[in-house]
Amino acid sequence: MLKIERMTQGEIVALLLRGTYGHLGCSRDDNPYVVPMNYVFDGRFILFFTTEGTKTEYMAANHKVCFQVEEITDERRWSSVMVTGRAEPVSAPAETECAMRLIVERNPTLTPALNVTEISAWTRRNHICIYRIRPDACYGRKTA
Amino acid sequence: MIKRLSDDEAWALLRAARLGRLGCIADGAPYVVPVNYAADGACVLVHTLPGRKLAAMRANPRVCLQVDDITDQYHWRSVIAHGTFEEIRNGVERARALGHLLAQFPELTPVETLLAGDVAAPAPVVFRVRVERLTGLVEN
Repeated sequence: MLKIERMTQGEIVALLLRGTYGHLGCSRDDNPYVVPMNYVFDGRFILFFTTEGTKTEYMAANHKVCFQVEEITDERRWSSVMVTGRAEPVSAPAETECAMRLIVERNPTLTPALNVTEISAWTRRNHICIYRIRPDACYGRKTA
Repeated sequence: MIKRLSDDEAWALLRAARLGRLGCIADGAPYVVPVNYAADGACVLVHTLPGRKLAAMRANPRVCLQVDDITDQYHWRSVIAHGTFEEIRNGVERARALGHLLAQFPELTPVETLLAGDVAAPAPVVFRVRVERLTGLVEN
C-alpha cells in the first residue's frame, strides 16, 4: 500500500540543498511551460542560469514561477518538493559573480573549466542570464 | 551541440518513458508535479487523487508534460508536450484507461495511493492529456 505524507520544512530544505537538478515551471497567457534545469540553493534563493530564449521570455512576461525537485528511488519510494515564488534576474556584477561561483561549484561539469576570474567574462560572452527564485511557499510530499 | 528532435524522435521518447512532469496553472502561477503516465495513441493517461493539481486543471485545462532522458549534462533528450486536460468520466472509457495504466504500473493501484492521515479516501480520477504540440531537443 503506497502512502504519501507531507514533508516537514526541514526535510524540504535538506532535499533542496542536496539536489543539483530540477524542473522550472513558467507560464505565459495561462499556458504552462516546464524545462529541466541545474540549480543551486543557497539556503535563501534557488539560483540557475540559462541563455536567452523561450524560458527568459516567459519569465519576463510572468515573474511567477515554480521549481520542482525530486529524489526517486523507484515508483514506490520517492520524495518531491515544489517551491513557488518570483523569478528575478540577477544583474549586478558582484551578485552575478557570486551566483555563478555557487552554481559552478555545485555543478562542476556545467561549464568549461574556468577559474574564478574567467567566470564573469565567460558569462558575458555566452549571453548567460542568471536568475534567482525568491520562494514564497514550499511544499513537499514523500512516500511513507 | 543542441539540436531539435524530429517528430518521430520526440514521440518515441514520450511513448517510451513512464515519468514526466505535468505543468498546469494554479491561480495564475505555474504548478509542476512529477507524474507516472502511460502513452495511449496521441494522448497520455494519468491517474490522480483530488487535490490542488486537479482543481487547477479543471479550472484551466491547458497543460504540458515534460519528459527527459538525461545521461549527463552534455548528453540528454527532452520533450515538451502541450495539450489539453480531459477528465475521463465515462465508466467504460475510465475502466479501459485504468486498465491501460495498471498494465504499466501493476504496483500502483490507484485506490492504494492515499495521502496518509486522510480518513475517507476519495476515488481516483483518471484523465488524459490530448497532445496538440510536441517539441524536443537533444544534445549529444
